[in-house]
Amino acid sequence: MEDALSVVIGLVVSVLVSALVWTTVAAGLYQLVRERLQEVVVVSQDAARKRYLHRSDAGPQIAQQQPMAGH
Amino acid sequence: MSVPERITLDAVPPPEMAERMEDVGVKKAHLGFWSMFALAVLAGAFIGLGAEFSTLAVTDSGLGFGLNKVFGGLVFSLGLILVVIAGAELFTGNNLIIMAWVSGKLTLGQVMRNWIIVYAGNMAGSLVTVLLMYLTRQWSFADYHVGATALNIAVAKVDLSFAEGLARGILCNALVCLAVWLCLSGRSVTDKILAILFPITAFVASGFEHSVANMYFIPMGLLLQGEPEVVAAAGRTASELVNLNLHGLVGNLISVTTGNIFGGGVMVALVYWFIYRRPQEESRPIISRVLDLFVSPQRPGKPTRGETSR
Repeated sequence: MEDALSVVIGLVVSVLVSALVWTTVAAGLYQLVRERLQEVVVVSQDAARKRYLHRSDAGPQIAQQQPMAGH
Repeated sequence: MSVPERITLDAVPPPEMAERMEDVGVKKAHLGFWSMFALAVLAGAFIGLGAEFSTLAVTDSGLGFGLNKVFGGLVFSLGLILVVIAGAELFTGNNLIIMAWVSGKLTLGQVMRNWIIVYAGNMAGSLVTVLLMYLTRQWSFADYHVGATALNIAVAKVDLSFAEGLARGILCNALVCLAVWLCLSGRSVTDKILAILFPITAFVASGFEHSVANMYFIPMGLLLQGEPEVVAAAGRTASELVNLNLHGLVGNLISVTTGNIFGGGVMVALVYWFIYRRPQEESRPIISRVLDLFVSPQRPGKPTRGETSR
C-alpha cells in the first residue's frame, strides 16, 4: 500500500514538474528562434534597402521619395 | 550640493536584494556569446574542483556518517565560492534570472539563450576538469581509495530513479539559489563566503543532486570504471556498474536538470518575486498575467511592491 502510494506521488510530481519546466523551456526556445528570425529579416531588409538606395539607375531623391514597401 | 552617501554595514534588505537580482539577471542575459560561454566554462571547472576536493576530503576521513557528509559538503562549497567571488556563469544559479523575466525586463527567449549557452559551457568546463583530474592520477591516492570514492559516488547517481533525481534536484537548487540569494545581501567577500557555506554544505550532506556537479562526478566515474584497481578498491562487481554509461549520464542529467530548474526558478525566484516584486494591479486574474509572460515578449515596466514599499 505504502509502495503504491509513493509510486503514485512520485509519478504525479514527476509529470507535473516536468510538464511545467519543459513547457516553459519549449516556449522559450520558440521565442528565441522567433527573435533570431526577426533579426535575420531586419538585417536582410536593411541590406536590400541599402542596395536599392545605391543602385546606379535610381537617384538619391527618387530613392528617398519611393521607399521600399514595408519601410 | 550633493547629499553624501550613507555608509552602512547592515545586510541588504530582501526587497532590495530582489531588485538587485533582476538587474543582475538583465546584465547576465545581455552578455555576449563568447564572454558568457567562457564564464560558463570557468563555472563548470570551479564546480568540478569543488567536487574533486570533496571526493578527496571524504575518503578515509575516519569521521562518522553524518560528520563525513557535512565535511564533504563544507569543502564542496569551494566551487560556489569561486563562482560567486571570482565571477562565473553557473546554470543552476542562473535559474534565478527567471525573476527578471517575470518582471518584464527580459524575454523568455533571452532567458533561454543564457541557459543554453551556460549549460553547454558548464558541461565543457566540467569535462575538461574531468580529463585533467584523470591525467593527474590523483585517483590512485590512498591505494586507489580516492578513485573508489569517486566511482561509488558516480554509481549512486546513475542508479537513481527519475522521481528521486527530480526531487533531489529540486531541493538541491532551492538551497543553491538560496545561497546565491543570500550573497546578494552581503556587502563584503566575507559576508558572501559565510552566506554560501551553510546552504551548500546542507545540500551536499543531504545527498541532493546538482546537475553541474554531476557533469563532473559521472564522467569521472565513467573513466574510472576502466581502472581495475579502482573497481577492486570500491568493492564493485561488473554487474553493479551496468548503469554507469552515457545513457546513465543523460538520464541523470534530464531528471536532475528538470528538478534544478524547478527548485531554483519556481521555489526561490518566483516565490521571492511574488513576495517583493509582483505588480500592484491586484484586480487582474493571475492566469491572464501568466499568459502575458508567454504571449507578449516586450511588456512595459509596472510599479512593484518593492518599489512602493521603500
